[in-house]
Amino acid sequence: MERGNRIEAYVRSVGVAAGIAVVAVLALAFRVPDGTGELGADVIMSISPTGELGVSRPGPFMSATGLRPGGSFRGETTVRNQTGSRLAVRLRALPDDKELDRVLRVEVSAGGTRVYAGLLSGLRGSTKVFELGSGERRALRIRGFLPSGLKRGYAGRIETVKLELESSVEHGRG
Amino acid sequence: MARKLLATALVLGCFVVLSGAATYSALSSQTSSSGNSFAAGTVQLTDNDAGSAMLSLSNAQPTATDASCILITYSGSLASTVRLYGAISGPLASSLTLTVTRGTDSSPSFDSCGGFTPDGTDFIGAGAGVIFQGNLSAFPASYAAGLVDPTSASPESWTTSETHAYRFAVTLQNDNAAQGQSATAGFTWEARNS
Repeated sequence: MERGNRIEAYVRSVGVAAGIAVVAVLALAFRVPDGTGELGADVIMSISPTGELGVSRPGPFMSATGLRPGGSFRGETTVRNQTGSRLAVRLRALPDDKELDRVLRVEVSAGGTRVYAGLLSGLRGSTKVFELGSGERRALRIRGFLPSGLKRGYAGRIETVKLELESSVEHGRG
Repeated sequence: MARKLLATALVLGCFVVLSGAATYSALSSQTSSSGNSFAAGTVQLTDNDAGSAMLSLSNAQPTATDASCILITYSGSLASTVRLYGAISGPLASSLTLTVTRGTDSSPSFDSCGGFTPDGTDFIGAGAGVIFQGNLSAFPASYAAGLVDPTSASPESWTTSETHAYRFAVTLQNDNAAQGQSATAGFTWEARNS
């Protein structure tokens, strides 16, 4: 009889241990995995045509998710002069807030000529002028990056940057 | 037996305490929303004429014609409908026939119509894409009376980056009363979001 009680106690212990093991396995199976420790920055850049200037990819044309120091992203669109006149063209950024103004660096080239290189905040002004003859088109290449060694000011930031084209007629030149 | 009952009561008691605490937590929980922002939408319509005139007739004789194509681009963020009207003056306007045709332009370059293709729809029974045909003097003069783009029966809802091309053609009629007369015209596309 005493031996039977020992066996029953042993079986109960095994049952409890098995139950705990099952619960532990289930808990671990549904555990949310660890992240990488710090969020990157999300950036979307968009551009719209104007009456004078058409673009090949209106709307968002370049984006980056989880951008970290040392990381970069690129985009390209083509700008076309739709007028009958030669135009002086500039580009400027209209970010929806200032979160990445002092950390995101931007380079803008028009047909191989660099028209801007600097912080996003500087692009709120405008790029150098590039000229487009009537009907002429030119590739607009943009690169954005966070400098290596950047410690703060980017984590978890989400920014949409609208790029605005401005133009004026170059009088006397077609 | 008494020990088993006591253990059962203890387990049930713990369950009641835990579920009660959870219920209390649910009833007293809070959430917040910060950083709200507000921005009005835009309605913006532009063209590619860069300040140049579309049409010109000088020292014209009967049947003389000039044609020009213009590209209209909607850059606003709010969907809008568009109406076309004009400011017409001068006695020659009643001797000029104006035809306005809506379409697309594969290679827009003001005021060339080289890449222009009319819309396929016969909007007013005057041919594919035509939205107005008549004397220049009969062209609507205000937004209220303006031509709904492309027709009042099925107005287009213009959205961001939408473009449409318009071909304007003006012809001097064979009208003896037109001799020595002149006229001027300005055309306006107006977008409204309601």
